[in-house]
Amino acid sequence: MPDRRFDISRRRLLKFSGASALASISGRSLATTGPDPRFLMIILRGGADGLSMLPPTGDPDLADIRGRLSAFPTLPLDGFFSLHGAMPTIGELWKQQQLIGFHAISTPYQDRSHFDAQNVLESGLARPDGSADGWLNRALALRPDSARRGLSVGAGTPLIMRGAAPVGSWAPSQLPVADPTLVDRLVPLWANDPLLARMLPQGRELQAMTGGMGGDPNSGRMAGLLEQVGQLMARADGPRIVAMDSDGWDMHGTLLFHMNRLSADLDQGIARLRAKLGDAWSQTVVLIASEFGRTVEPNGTGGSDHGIGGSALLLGGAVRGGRMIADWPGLRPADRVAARDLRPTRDLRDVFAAALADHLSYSPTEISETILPGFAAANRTPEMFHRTL
Amino acid sequence: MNRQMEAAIATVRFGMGARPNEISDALSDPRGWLAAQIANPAPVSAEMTSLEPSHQLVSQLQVAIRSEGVSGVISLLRNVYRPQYVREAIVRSGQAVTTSTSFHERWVRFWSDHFTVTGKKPVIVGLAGGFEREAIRPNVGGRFVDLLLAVIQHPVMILYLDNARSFGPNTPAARYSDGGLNENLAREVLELHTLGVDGGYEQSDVRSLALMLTGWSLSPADGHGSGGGFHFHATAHEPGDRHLMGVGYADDGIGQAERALRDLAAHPATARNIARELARHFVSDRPAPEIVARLSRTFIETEGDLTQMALALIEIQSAWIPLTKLKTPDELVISALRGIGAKGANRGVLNALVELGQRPWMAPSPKGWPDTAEAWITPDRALRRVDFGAAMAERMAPLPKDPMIQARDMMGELYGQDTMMAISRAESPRQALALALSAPEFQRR
Repeated sequence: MPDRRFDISRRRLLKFSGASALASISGRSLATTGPDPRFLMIILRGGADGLSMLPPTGDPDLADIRGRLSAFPTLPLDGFFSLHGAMPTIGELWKQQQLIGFHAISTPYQDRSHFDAQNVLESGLARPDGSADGWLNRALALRPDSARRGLSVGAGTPLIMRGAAPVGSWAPSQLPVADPTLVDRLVPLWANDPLLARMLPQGRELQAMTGGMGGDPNSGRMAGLLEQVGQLMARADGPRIVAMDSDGWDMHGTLLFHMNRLSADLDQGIARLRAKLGDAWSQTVVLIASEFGRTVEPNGTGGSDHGIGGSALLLGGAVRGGRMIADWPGLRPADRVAARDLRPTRDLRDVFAAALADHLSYSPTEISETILPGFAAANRTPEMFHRTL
Repeated sequence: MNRQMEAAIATVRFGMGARPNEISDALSDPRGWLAAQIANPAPVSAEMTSLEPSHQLVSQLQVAIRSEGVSGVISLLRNVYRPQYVREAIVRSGQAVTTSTSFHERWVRFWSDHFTVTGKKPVIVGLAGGFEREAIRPNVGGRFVDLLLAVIQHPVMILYLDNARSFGPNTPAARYSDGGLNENLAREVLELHTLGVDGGYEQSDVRSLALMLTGWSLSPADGHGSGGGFHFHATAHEPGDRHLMGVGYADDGIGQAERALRDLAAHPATARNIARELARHFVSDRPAPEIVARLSRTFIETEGDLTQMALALIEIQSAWIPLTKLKTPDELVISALRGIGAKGANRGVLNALVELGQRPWMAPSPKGWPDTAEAWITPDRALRRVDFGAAMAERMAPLPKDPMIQARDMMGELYGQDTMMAISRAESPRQALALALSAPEFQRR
């Protein structure tokens, strides 16, 4: 049965694009050719486990140190790093040289609070200072038409999109299925209430029996959203800089299960996004990043805890991919931060700056002065993108 | 029990959930804070005041039936009643979300449910809101008998329970049509509105009341906006004296059923029936018999003074035991919106109520919505509640600076330690809010 929750009605699309329709009739012709770059930022909330997303399968210490947490299918990439096996679409992009993997990477934030780390990731600043605007909003503010070009997916605008420039926002209108990791956290709480105790587990069993085609009723949130985002970004008058959240990456327990589930959902979403973008895929860049990484060693509950270094994925038709960018620090205790976290050797802002400069055509000055204040954009890693300008 | 706890209970058990700062407002005197809401309810919103009166909507129905028959009714439902329903539902939710006297708002809902009219009967869809605004809302602070009369003499109740065309068998109206007696309204008055199903009436009482109620109908529409109100048609009223519950009623037209209703309102079985419902709503699903007896006595002693009944509820010790009641979907949605300090309601609120299984004014029968936990919680519905909590958190912007403070604002000390711990360990402020809104404590009041 098709999932009607994720249909964008024609009416809603028109409503969304209503303001810009006039602009496109009067000014930009739909037939205009030339560069029209698109950028989508997907924030994996909770601190994604980089050693699961891009496992360094060539590191002889991995299996010893990670134990059971390293026992999952993988897709080989460059001989040293692999990709989580639940992401075949993204694996395909590697072969088509449309994927760059980053590892041992982090924002400048070197501690372990979700809230502060997300603040740094989204503000683009060096420290969590409670900034009220986000770096994508500051970028949008430097160009006209931010309300059309910028879009926050999900009705609550995340910090990365907040600020002086008006941006669009869009969310599916009906109740989406709650993130299963939220339900995970609620199950033991509901167990304290005799009447409610068994309701959530029983509900999940029921859902599994009656759920959709895939058999896993919990999958598909990102897949559905990304399909619609692709629909929006493909339009001649659609948004060009888009941010969205993926929740549930704070995997303190049952990491193998959740990693598999969320990765598959994300991967399916990328497949649908690409399909909907069609020709515009060649002008598209997707950055998938998280506020931090996790501990190298497993914790006692089948998961990992907050840690600094993590991984990120940069993909799309405009990416010069098929390579890993990582200065691998190693996994042994002495290689880590405080003998626990993967040591970050790269600054995530380097990727931001490269995308801004070499994909979205912002000048290094604009970046260093306004968008990512204090970051030396002139020294960014070169040649991550096919120039679309 | 400490006053912190009592203040929280005042807002969630009696009120419809705490808005930011409300628990601190209630803190100095939780009982007095509640009593003041009943004595002096906040005015309704301008949006509510400007909604169309029922008699105009009913008269459109009358015109449609007369001039176009079924197809006219169908197009009226689609083009007028549906949009009216959506407006009414949103305005009503907005009133509950924003009011500073949500105990009064709960009190309105309680009596509206006691005298349910439901859109399960399609013509009621566009009318139920007006019925609540006109028959219920202005009368919940007075005496039960006046509320009862306002309800039974409201055109929407007349329509809903089929009394408009209930003709005395020996009347001109019956002779000129092939119509006759309809017992529906009389039966529900006895079974639901007054005595209760075990109130000691028999089929002969039902018939007797139905005969007395013949002629209680609608004023005909003249096609120019008048009509559609309550009207007594003497030509449809069955002549003759009647007996109901052993009391005789001489026939003097409309006054006959009026006096019967007054006596029903004062009947001890009615007092018990109302007391039982109130105790179930404010104390627990299975209240102790002493509590029902005490409320029943208050009802009789005060001659059904509803303000006194509300005050009596506040004084019941066991009404202050935390979280004995499961929230209905409506209560969950309204309290969540109040909790995050929402400024009103919109179509999304209506959608959420639909998803959670309690579309406004769509109770399954004239009995109204169930008021016990088992009726409202199933595994599937449980997941929906979590979906709702997550969706609310998703839509909230800006997010709270401190999720712990927000949680205390919403529920005071009613969250258990485990829940507070989980909120503090959430992976993001958004998840913290989702946890607070989906926690088991928040499912209760």
